[in-house]
Amino acid sequence: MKKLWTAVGFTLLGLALTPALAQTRGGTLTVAQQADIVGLDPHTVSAYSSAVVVEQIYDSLLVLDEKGDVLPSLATRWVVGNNGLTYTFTLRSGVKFSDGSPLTSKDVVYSFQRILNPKTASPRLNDLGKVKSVTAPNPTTVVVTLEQPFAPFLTKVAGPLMAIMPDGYAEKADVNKVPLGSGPFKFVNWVSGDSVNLERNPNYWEAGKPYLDKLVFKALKDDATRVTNVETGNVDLIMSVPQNQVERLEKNASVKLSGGPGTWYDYLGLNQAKAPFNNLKVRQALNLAINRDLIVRTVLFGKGTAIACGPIPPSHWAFATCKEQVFNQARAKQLLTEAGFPNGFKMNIKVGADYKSQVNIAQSIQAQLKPLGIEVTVQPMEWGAFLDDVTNKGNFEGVILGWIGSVDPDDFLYYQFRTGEKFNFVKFSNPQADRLLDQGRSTVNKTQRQTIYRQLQTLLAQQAAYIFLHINDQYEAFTPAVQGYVHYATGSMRSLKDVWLRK
Amino acid sequence: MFVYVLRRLLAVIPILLGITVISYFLTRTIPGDLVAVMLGTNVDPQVAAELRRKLMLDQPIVVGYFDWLGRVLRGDLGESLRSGQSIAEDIANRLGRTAQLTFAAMLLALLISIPAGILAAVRRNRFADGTVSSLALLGVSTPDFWLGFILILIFSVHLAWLPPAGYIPPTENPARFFSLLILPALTLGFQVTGILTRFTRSAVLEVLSQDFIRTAKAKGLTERAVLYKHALRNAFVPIITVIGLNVGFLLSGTIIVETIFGWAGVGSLAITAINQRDYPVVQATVMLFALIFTVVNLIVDLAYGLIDPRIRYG
Repeated sequence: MKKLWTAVGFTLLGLALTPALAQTRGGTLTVAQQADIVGLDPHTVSAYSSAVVVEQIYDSLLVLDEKGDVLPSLATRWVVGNNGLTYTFTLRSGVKFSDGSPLTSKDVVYSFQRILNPKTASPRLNDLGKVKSVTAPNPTTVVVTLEQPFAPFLTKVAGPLMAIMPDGYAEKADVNKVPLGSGPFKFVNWVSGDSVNLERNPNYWEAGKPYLDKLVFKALKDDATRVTNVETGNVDLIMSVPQNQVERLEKNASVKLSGGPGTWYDYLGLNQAKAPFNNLKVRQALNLAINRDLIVRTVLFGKGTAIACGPIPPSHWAFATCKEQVFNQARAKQLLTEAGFPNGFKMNIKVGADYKSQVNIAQSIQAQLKPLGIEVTVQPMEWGAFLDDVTNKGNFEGVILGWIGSVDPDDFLYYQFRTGEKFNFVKFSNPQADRLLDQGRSTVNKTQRQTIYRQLQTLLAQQAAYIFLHINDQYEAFTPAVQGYVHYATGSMRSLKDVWLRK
Repeated sequence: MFVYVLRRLLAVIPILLGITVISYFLTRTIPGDLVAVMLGTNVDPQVAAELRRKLMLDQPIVVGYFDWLGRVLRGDLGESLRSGQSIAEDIANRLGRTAQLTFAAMLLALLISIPAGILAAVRRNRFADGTVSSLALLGVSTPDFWLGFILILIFSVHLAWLPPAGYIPPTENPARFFSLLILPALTLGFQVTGILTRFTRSAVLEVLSQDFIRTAKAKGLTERAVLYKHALRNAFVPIITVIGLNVGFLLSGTIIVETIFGWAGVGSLAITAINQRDYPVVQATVMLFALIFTVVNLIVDLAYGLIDPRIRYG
C-alpha cells in the first residue's frame, strides 16, 4: 500500500512539474493528411479528413479519451435514469463559443434536433437510437428521452461529429464553409485545395490551452510525398503513415512516430446469399485455411495483430477469445470435402484498388487458398464502382474490406451482422446472433454486455460470418520539435490542443 | 485573317458542347455515384435517399444535363456537389498555378529540346547525335510518376536542396516559389523535352535533305547561313504544330504531377472530382482543358503565317 502511495505521490509530483518544465506557447503546426477537406459542417460530413478538423473547432457534450472511454467535456456530469430511457446532462458553466457568445442548453437542443431532422440528411441520423425528445428545462441542463434503452448512447454523444453549434447558426451562415464552435481552435479560412487555417480560440474553456497559435491542415494525398515532407521538415506532422515505412522512419533521428493498434480491422467478406458461401462448411474451411500471422508479417510488415474471434481489439473490455480458428489446412480440406468440394472451386475477390494493403491481402489469400484447389481471381476496382457493386448491388463473391473508428461493441457489430441491416453486405443471418445483438444494445449494465458480446463473437466466429483477419497498427509521424502529441486508437486528433513546439 | 480567327473561335463551341456531353454521360453512367462515395461503406439508405434528393441526383440523367447546361449558358458553373465551394472561384484560384507549372515545363522543354535537336540533326550519326538521341529516348520513355519520386528522393531527401512539395504564390515569396517550382516543372517537362528533341531532329534532317538546301550550299552559302536562313525556318512549321499538341500532353500530365508535388492546381482538382463523381466539377475542368487546348492550337495555326509567309488564311 505504501508503495502505491509513493507511486501516486510521484505521479502527482510529475503532473505538477510537467507543465513547469517547458511548455512553450506559440508557433504554427502544419499537419498533412491523406485527403482534401470536403466540408466543415459537423452534422453532415463523414469524411475522416473533415472530421479531424471539425473536432478542433467544435466540442461535443462528452469526449472520448485515447482508449475510447467517455469523459466530461461540455457536460460535466450526466445521470442515466428511468432504466436507461432518460439522460440528464449538466453543462459546464462559463463556456463560450469562439465569437464570445455563451453556450447554453438551447444550443445543445438545437444541435441535436438538427442531427435528428431527416431533412439535414445527417449520416448520424440513426446514431442516437430512437430519440423521443430533447429538452432544456434550464440553461445548464439538457434532458434526452429515448423510446428504448440504447446502450451505445453515451459513446455516440461523445463522438466528435455530435458537435454543438450556436442555436440557429445553420440557418444564418453557411455552416459547411464557416464553422463556429467552442473547441480549442477557431476557424480562420479554408483555401480550397490548399489548406484549412485555424488559430487559438481565446475563449476556450480549458485554461491555458491550446498552446499553439496556429494550426494548419493540408492534404498530401500521395503516401510517399507525405513521408518525405515530414522527413525534410516541410510539414510538422503527418497522418496515415504507410505501414511499410514505419520501420525505416523509426531509425530516422529527424522523425518521431506515435501509434499502435487502432480500431481499423480488415476482413474477408463472403457473400452468403450466393453458393457456395451459403454453406457453413465452406466458410469454416476458408476460415481455417488462411494464415493470418503470415498476412500480418508479409503484407503489414508486422504492423498489425491477427484476429480470429470477432473484430473487437484486445485492449477493449468486450474483447473475446475463442479457440475456433487456428490455421489448419488438413481440417480445411476435410471440411471442403464434406461440403462437396474435394477439388475446390473458383471464386472472385473484389477489392478497392486505391487501398494497396487490401489488394496485397487479397493476393496473399489467393496464394494461400491454392493448395485447397480454390482458384481465386483478385479484382482490384476503382473505389466508386467497387462501392456500387458491394454496398448497393451485392454483386460480389468475396471482398476485402475494413471497418474503422468503432468505439462501442454495438458499432462494431450491430449493423454489420444483424439480419437485413444496412452494413450487412455479406447477408449474414442468424436468429441467435440477432437476439444477442438486440440484447447487447438494450442492456445498460456493462458486465452483462460483456457476457453478451463475448457469446456473440464466439458465435460469429463459429459461423464464419466474416473471415476476420487482423487489426492494423496506425501511426502518425512528426518532427522532434513537436511535443505532447498522443496517438488515439480511435483515430481522433484531439490531442493537438495539448501539443506544443519546442523551440 | 479576322474572318478566319472568328470562324475558328466559333468552331470551338460545338467542340466544347460535344466534350461536355461525352464527359457528362461518362461521369454519370460509370458505376457508383457521389452519394455512394460520400457515405462510403457507412451507407444508411434513408440518409442516402435524402442526399440524392438534395443533390438532385435522383433526377433522370438527361434532365440533369440540360439543367447543368442551362446554368452554364447563363454563366454559372455552379458549386461542387461535394464541398459546396463555388467552382468558378475554385478554378480561378487554381488556374494560375496550373498555368505557372505548365508554362515552366514547356519553357524548360523548349530551351533544351530545340538546340539539342538541331545539334543532333547537324551532327547526324556522330557522337553528339548519339548522345542527344539516347537521352531523348530516355526522356520519352520515363514515366512522370516515377521520375517525380526519384527527383524528390535525390534533391529533397538526400541532398536537401529543394522542398519536396507545396505551393506559395510568387508574389508572396518569389525565391520559395521558384524552389518549389523546379522539381514539378522538371518532372512534367521531361517527357515533352524528349518528344520535342526527337521531333526537332527529324524535322531539321528532313529539311536538310531537300533540293533547295543543296542549291543553297551549291551557291556557296556558309553552313551557318544555310542552317539558320533556310533550314530552320522551314523546319519550324511542323515543330510548332507538335509544340501545340504537346500542350495537351502537359495538361494531362498536371493531373499526376500536381498530386505528387501537392501543387493544388486544376489537374489535381480534376482527378479528385472524377474519383468522387463530383460531375459539375468534372465538367468544368474538362471544358477548361479543352478550351485551353483548342485556343493554343489556334494560336499555333496563326503562328504558321509568321514563320512561313506563303501560308495564307482565308
